[in-house]
Amino acid sequence: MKGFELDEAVKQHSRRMFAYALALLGDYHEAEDAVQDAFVSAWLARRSFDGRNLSAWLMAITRSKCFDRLRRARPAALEDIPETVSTPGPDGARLDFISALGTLGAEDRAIVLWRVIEGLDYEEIASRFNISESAARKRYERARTRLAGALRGPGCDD
Amino acid sequence: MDRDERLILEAFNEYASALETPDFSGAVKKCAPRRRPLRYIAAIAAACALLIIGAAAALGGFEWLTGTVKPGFGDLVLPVERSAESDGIRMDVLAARRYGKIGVVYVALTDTEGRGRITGQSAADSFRINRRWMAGEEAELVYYDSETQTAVYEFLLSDFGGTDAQGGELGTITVELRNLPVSEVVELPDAVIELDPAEISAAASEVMGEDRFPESAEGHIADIPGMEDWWISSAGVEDGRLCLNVRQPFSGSPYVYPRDGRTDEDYFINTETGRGEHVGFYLEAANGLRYNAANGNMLTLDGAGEPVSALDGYELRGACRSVYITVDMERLEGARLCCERSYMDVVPGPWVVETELDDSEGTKSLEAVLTDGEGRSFNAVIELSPLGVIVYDSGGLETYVSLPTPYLETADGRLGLCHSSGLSYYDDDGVMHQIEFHFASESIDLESVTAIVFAGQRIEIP
Repeated sequence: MKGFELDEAVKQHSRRMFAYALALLGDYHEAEDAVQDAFVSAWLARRSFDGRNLSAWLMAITRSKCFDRLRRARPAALEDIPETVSTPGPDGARLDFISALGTLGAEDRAIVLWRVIEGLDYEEIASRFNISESAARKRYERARTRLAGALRGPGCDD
Repeated sequence: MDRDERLILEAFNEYASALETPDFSGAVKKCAPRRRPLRYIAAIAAACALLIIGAAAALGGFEWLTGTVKPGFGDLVLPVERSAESDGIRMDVLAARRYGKIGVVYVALTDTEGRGRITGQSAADSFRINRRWMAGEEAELVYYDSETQTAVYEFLLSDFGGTDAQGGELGTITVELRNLPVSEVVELPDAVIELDPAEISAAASEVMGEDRFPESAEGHIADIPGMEDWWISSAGVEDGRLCLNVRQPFSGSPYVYPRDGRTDEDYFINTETGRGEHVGFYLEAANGLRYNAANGNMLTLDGAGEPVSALDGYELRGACRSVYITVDMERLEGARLCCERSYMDVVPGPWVVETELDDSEGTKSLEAVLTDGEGRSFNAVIELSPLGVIVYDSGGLETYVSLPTPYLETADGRLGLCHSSGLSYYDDDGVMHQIEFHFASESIDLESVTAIVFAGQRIEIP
């Protein structure tokens, strides 16, 4: 099979795309719109999809849509995510992650997520923010350390 | 991947799995495309038009662009008409226009030998514009005619204020197409690998090292049918995903095939065929659903199969790369692992055209204090041009300000702006700046614009 099947893509990838968008944007409706836009763009560009690595292709489109929204939307307010977004898992995983992300600004959040979730290199991050690669690396390392510290919780140095 | 990154990734995966996801099944129906409709010409109409025009030279020229294709900014652009041709493929930079930091350029591709090598959208992601100008996500295909084998692409150009070191002068544009992708040819479809995914999951062996590269290139647990020099060296489960480590031959350099703005090292030049080849892995579940693998890291190997770095000057003989399949482990029962070999048929380039972009007059500029949803102020310079609107700070910022997408009020009503992009950056003195671009879909008559509106904040245009 080659090509892009929308229904199948929605079934298989919308959860991760939405989680990614919500983490980036911090706003349920913005994330929903971004993922919807991403599927529309993917559908329009389906002839350019080469049949390989659909997940990476869709995540890249999602990132692009979120980036556009980060530039024009109200700043993400993670604490404002409505209760209807989801109920946290038994271990509070969602709340832990969301509240930890809230310790970062929108750009730092994007840098960490792009790097860790999507595996973007520093050159790509640098070009997006028009900063040097070394500056991108430093910003990433600071943000990563801060987010990891927040995930581990107060008083946990490790 | 270090401990912090692993922790973040695990937290994200847990969060994603616990998240209640909206229903996107109606995505296409609910959201109307923002793109302008592609101007196709029916085959018969094209043939008639060609007879009327009467000369191949007319096809692909400036007059043809503005008179026949009629793109959104066709009434604004100035002729360029510079071209590069190789192997029967001609790239024409037909027309362009620049207003300060914002611009548009139209580029045509034509298969002059009529060999069916222009397939429309496929080339759109393969162009490169010199880095000073950032061309948005991709070129947009605005015209395609399969009969005449001609496609026209539109690039919306935004200058984000990069330095000269980042690529060229503001008034110069270089359009480059390195290779023209034509089609993907599947040579070896649906080769079944004799490995039971359920057994791999049950064993759950660790096959990835601390930095997420294959822990070892050693091992040979399964052949890949039809591909003598390829095999599966190890398999396991990593981060809830099925992971295969694949040994493969390696010769030459990674084949650079731009896709989605990234360098895809998944294709490799086959020195025997000269083609960029790809081997894709996937899992076919018992219910017939297919789960494609994503690529992870790759170890490059010397002749003895030991990991070496290409940067250290070793002659590379092989590689071991990890591939991941994201699938619910409950679906592994009765599933089978498969792969297929294909190659991208390309016409090798490059086609390169450089041209000057003179700064046009006819813009309006004003200053205003904007506020975002948090009440933060933004001392803005707003530049209106017939292409769109640029908004940037007038003297530096302490923090990024999220500005809403504006729209214009005209004598005829509201005019929306789309194709928005922007970023913040630090200048050489460490001062933060922000710049945003909002393109119209068609040329704007500035004389008719009475105001620009940012989320209810109306600024009159004098």
